[in-house]
Amino acid sequence: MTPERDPSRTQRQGAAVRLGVVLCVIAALVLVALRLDDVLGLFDFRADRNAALGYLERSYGDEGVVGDREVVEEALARMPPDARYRVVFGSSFAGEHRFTRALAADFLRYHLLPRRRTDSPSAPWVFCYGCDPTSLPGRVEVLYEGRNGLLLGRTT
Amino acid sequence: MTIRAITGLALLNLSFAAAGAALLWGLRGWRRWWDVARLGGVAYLLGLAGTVVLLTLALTAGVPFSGWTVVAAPAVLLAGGVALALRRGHARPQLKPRIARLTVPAALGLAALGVYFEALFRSARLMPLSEWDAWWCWTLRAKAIFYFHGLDQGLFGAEAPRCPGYPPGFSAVEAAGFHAMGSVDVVTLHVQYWFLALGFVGALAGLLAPRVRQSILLPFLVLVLLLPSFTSRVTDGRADLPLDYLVAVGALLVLLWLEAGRAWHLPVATVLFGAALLTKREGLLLVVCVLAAALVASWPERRRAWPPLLAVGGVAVVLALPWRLWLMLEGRRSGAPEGGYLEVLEHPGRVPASLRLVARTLFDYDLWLLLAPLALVAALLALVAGQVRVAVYTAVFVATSVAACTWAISAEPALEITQDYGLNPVVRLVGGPVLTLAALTPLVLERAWAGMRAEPAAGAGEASSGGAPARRRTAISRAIVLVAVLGYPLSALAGYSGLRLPGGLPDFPAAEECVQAPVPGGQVRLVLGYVDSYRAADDLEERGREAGVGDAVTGHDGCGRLRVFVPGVPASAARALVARAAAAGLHPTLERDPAS
Repeated sequence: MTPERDPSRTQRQGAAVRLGVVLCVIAALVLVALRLDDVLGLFDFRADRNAALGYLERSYGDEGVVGDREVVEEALARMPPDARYRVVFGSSFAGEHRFTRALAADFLRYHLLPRRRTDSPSAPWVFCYGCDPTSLPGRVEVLYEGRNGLLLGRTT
Repeated sequence: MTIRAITGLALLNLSFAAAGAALLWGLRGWRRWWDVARLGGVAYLLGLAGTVVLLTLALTAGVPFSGWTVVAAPAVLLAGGVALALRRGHARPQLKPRIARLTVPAALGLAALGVYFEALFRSARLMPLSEWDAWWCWTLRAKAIFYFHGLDQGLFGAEAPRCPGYPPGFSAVEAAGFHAMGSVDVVTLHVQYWFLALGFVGALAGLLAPRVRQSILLPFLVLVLLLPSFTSRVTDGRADLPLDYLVAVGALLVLLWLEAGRAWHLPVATVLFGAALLTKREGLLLVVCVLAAALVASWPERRRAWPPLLAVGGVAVVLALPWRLWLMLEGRRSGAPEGGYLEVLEHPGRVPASLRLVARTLFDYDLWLLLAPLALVAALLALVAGQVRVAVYTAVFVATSVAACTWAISAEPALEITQDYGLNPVVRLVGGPVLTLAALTPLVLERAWAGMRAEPAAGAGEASSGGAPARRRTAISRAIVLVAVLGYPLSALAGYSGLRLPGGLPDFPAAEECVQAPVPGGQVRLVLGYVDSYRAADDLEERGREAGVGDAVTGHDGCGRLRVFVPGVPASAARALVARAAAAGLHPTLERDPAS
């Protein structure tokens, strides 16, 4: 036998629940009212900023501390799609932090696909961050000298 | 960046929606075209998820990835859906109009949604891909699939430098986007994320509209789009939010199945969960949390409910199995965290700190406003109102997902205990549970409001109808939506400063913007052509010399091409040189010489 519920108590409980629901909806509405204009402004700001970018800035995104858009442009124009290259870091590589080497190598890997990165010294193309090209095995012809001490070379 | 790229991407996404609509026709049938429109978001996500599953299967089976694969995957799903519908004898949908009544507050909500997506589209279509997690993982792998026509060992196998063990499903969608756009256009690719966000909100709206009154539903639908951590990542090119969309809509479908027992909810949820497992490794965690919540919430009816729920998990795992097998055989990886699933036991001291970090992140106002507290209050209200199932489902999902996120953070000792997204993925990880709560909360609140009734009052999702005043209100509501949706693009065209919008037609940047028109009387350069490689440039220079136009040189044009040109041509001699080059079969043009 189930105990009978007090109808007035149930009513009060129901009213409290409905009040709670209304308060939740009001909270959501207030948050929407507070945020909507800011978010639309943010999207408009982003749209204007993106529209104002030049071709290289838009295509290569943020080159950060690691990259150099021009050297990638030069490499894309020189290296055939099936080329293999390696990335070498020298002792004078400037501005290094925890992720710099990984980011630098990945920046090139991402932009140069389908050209493949390899660790083999026999790779015909070499990107050299802050290193002396004469210290590399074989004879390296420097094809382009970018910023951040980044060189593009070809082993001959 | 071109209209052609945007159109290609739109057609690709339309093919997902068509495939999903056909599958839903087979699974549930369509009575009216209005239902097709209402559930268009669900159809889109279902078609997308099915395509992710099929493309991953094709990739792991070694089927060359090409434009044909991209067309075939949704086509197979579409054919399967139609065949199932015919086999079940489902009739074609009717053209009976049944537009829901729209209240004025709801119209304001719809207007906000419309303007939001217009502004988001403007923001996304020319966005550079600068989010490092996107380019060094997801889009890098998408480019590899596109260029190498399959799973490259170097990027997906044992030596994968980035996101090792992560499934290829979402990168396959991006690679499909490259085929649809006709090039590796990583700028327009951001529009793909716009379609995904639209599909997500459309799916929530379509599933909840008949069950939740507009005054509860629309504030929460808009709110989810305004969450700070959502707006900062909505088109950033990472797979976290797409994963969250799949899990959130899947979780809502599971709850609807528990509530109403419609047969089609679980198969759709299964495909979404399968795709979630093929999108990110965290997908498995979130799907387990959803199913655990469903199992606990359905305890009183476990004999009826548990076998289908367990089947959902089982089939989702089977859908992801080909990738797991490939990973073990070819990639020599298990897909588990670096230290294995039990790594957390080696670092018990990290658990309390990880738990605090996860809890702090879940309730962080600067990331998610008040969404998690509102969801928990909603669950409490539902519990008090006697709606135990939805309350328990929500509460258990929160508890299990907090535990799962804590485990994920604890199990990776390399992760620092911080919200800094470069050092710990906790914000993106917790985003899955938060978006799921956003999907559940309107329904939980509706149940709390409805009290002891199992189903909401008839027409809970619609305003009351009847009489001229109601028709007038509906007309006003529709006018509000129309004015807002048309007002934004028209303001952008006119350049309305109140909205900080520029005037004029939208710009579609192309390489031609680097062409410099000659100035009358000034020195010019004779441009023999634009090419992509120095080898082609050398050929063009040689042809110029043979034509007798002088020594040509080559330089970057600033728009991704090499310009081959004869510099320093006096204006008086230009016409004769153009004629000479044209006579030799070249296509010369004159441009301003900046050196002059």
